[in-house]
Amino acid sequence: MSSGKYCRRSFLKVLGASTVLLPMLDVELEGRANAGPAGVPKRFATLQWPNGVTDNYWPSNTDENNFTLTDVLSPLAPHRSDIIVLDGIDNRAMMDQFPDYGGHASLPFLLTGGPGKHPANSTLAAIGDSISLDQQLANTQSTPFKSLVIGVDSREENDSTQKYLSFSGPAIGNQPNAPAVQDDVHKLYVQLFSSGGADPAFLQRLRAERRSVLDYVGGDLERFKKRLGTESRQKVELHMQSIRNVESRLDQIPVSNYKPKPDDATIDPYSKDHYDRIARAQIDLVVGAFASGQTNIATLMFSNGHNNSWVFKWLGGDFGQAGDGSFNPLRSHHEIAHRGGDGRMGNDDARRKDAVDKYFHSLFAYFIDGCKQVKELGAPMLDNCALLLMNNMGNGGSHSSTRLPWTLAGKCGGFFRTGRYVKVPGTPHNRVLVSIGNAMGDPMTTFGPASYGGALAQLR
Amino acid sequence: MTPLRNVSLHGTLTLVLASSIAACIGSIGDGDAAREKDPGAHDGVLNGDPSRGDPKAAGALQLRRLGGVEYLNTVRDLFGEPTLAIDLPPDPLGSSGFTEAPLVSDTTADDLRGAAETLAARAVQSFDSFFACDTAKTGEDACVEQFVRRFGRRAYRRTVEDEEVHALMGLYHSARTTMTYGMKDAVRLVVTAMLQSPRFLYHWELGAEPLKMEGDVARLSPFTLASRLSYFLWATMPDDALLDAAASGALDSDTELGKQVDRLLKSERFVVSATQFHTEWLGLDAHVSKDPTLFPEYGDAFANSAREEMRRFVRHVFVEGDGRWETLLTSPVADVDATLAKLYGVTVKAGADGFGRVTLDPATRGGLLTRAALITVDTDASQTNPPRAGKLVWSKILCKTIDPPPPGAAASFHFDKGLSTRENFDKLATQPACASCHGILNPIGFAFEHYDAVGRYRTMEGPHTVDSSGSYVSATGTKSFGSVVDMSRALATDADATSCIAKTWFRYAVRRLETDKDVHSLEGAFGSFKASSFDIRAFLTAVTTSRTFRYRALEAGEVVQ
Repeated sequence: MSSGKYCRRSFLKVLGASTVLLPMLDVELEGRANAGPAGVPKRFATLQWPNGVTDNYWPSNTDENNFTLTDVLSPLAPHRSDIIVLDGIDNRAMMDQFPDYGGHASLPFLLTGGPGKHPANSTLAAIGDSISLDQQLANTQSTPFKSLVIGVDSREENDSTQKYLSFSGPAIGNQPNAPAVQDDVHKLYVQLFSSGGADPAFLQRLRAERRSVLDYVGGDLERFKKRLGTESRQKVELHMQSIRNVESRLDQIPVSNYKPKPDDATIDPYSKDHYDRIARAQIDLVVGAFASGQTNIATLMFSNGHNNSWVFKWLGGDFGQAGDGSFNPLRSHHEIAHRGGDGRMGNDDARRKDAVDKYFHSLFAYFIDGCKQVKELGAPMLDNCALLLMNNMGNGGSHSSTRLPWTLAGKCGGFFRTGRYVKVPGTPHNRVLVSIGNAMGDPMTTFGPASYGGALAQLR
Repeated sequence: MTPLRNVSLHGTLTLVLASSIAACIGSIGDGDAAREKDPGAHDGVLNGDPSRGDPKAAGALQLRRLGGVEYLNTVRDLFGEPTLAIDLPPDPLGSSGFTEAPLVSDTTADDLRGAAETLAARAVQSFDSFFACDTAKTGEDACVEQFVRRFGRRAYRRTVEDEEVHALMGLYHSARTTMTYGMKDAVRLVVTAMLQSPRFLYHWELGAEPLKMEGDVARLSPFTLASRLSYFLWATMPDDALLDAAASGALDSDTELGKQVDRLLKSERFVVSATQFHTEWLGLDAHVSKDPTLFPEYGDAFANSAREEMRRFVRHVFVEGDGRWETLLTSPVADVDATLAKLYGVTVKAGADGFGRVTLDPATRGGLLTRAALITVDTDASQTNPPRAGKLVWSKILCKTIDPPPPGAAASFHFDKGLSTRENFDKLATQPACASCHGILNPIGFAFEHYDAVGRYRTMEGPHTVDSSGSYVSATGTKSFGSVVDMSRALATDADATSCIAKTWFRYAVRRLETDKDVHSLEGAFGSFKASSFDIRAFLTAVTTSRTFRYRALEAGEVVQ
């Protein structure tokens, strides 16, 4: 049952399952992979929300150092010195390749920088066709989880063009090569933190068993793919890679004294009424995974390209009633984005949309705060993070792809000069991706089409 | 793969669209609009002409993984536990318009691992019946080998090859020795591995045997054909009778194949697949909300009643009934529970399961398009949405395309509560920028105006008298109607609609768009469809016995032997 290409058992045997028995150590960072010069790893996470913003998002005082935060941005006030508010970032990659596309089609371009691929039987929407920044950075990680790809209620979205933000590489046929978006906080909690309390002897046996099974499966996939055509073989090779990744997780036990909050079993991951609790639990999981060395890379999708079926009842007011227009359902985020962002500022839907956007900024503030509370070598973990709050659209009313309301938080090991409002009109978003890549230690000079240029000097 | 491109109507439509400066402006959530199907595959209207296409050609058989529904149905059959629950995420839609299992990323691999572990652990709980071998009499190795061959034939849906048996025996022995497992745990480990094997997870029931080439197409192996039949018509693995027919070579005979297809179509399991077809085709499982102040009766229980009514209607048409397209569109027969009886204004004598058979008033309600399961997903929270309903008929029933509204369109439409819904949307058809699309969609969607947003019949919308008259454009010209009941009757014999439902079922059968290589098979099957007064089952029978279903084109890079 052994197969040359697949076999990596000798390596596995050396590492063995016994690492799980190591006691929790006081020094948090010992043995971390991908550590920076001071032994501290750098982390990258995005938090994505859809449907753009109204003009009320943008400050009138945009002085680089003495800018004024609007009400929508106000949840970030306590973290003012740790953020860069970006003004002038455009999704040129989509607009240049597919000038007819609307804002809903933008997700696959955000982290890949384009170009996208137009799949058969789809109108005016693409799937990602190249690796996304997060997955490129993930590939060089040696953490148990190369990355976490998480979102609220991913299963709600059955359209591949609006379901994924992260991509592992070019599409295969009409299918995106996208990591499945994990949307069940309890499953995720078990994956990340369950081994802590389990009987070590049981865990050791379980790991050995899984290793033996996955090794068999890997060998079987290897035999299976031999006669297949090129495209089918690509699918099977992807499957094999995933099996290898799952298998390698068995061997890598992070050493950490991070104690996660207990899993809140009362959360229903698919209840429309639990959005806020799910979102915060997902943020907690990412903070915990960062702090415990389970991963250094994460994407959070709140929730897809449109949020059409989410009604923000927990924000109070009249969200739970039917809207004035012909939209389904009730006052959904999508409906109020169209009606509130169309230039007639001050109407009721603008007020509602601003409340929603302010809410997402409060989630980002919660994320920043979580990363600050974890201390590494006496400093907040945030200092070694690049957290990107991003929207797939600019103006919500027109669903535009210009002037994207993005905010960066964290210095990422002293790379970014924070506490500023950075005005860079007409800048392709690819340049922000390059800067983040560089901050994370990837020497890339461009990302996506090279014509969009290199790192954004203004961020340093 | 070249999508089928021929004929005319799409060209005409393109001209209409191109002649307006902007495409459609206004309404419908554009999240939804982005899901519209693109031109290319749809344009040829089937007419049953047997001279079209290459009779020796066959389309591709793409490597697909078991979808979530298929996986669940399969393990229920494999372990004989009809109520087993496995939590795998639902699949997104593929280019066929039906669900397609995504490529396997880390999370999916881990989900499949978890499912396999759970299932195997559960199976060995009743080890004696599962293993079914007396080791004292037969010997441990012989028993395990028997088990692997027996279980593997069903799990892999073909005869397990000696090499595979040896590999699995190797896994078993290492569990027994290296891990010092007892028999039960070692078998559990083997089953866990088999459930993660590509032989179980992929629709590719081919062993080491060489491909049977005929010209430049390969004949499917009998086991591949058996599985293709079974997953298409039952949405689950083949049963023993079908596997036996494959093993004996019976499926090579047209008569025997026909008998198997007939058996599959008459089975209750066909209802499972047919219901899945209608659910995915029309998006009947979409999550919708209704304004609780207007529709306090609406909620999960209501939605479940409506879906169950639809399932029973599909069963009525396809298993009890004549399977005809016209019956599906026009039959007033319904199985309803108390909730739906109230909604439809009928009295029902419900059986123990809460449902009972009624005949709805044929003047106000007919087939598929008039049922609550469809109307609730194609209306808004508080009111109807004629363009959305029109788009459903236009794209799903007539297989025609339309551009999504341009950016900003939605914000420019303001609903005037002083006017009827129809009057509000009529305004769009008078604005030049909107008229090109809304002039097509609105007159179709108005057909549904006699139902409110949960599907209750009405003659008044507030102070406004309901007008559900309208028209649709098809290959044979403009057809006018007074209501959705009239429209359904017209669609039942419409050449575009019969071609469309045939193509849609074909895409469900092969899980890809039709191509030039399918034309001969597709036209032949459509000929049978026509000859049977459009009995959908006759079409499915003809598809499953067609060249393109039993043979396949090779993929680039494929190794024949």
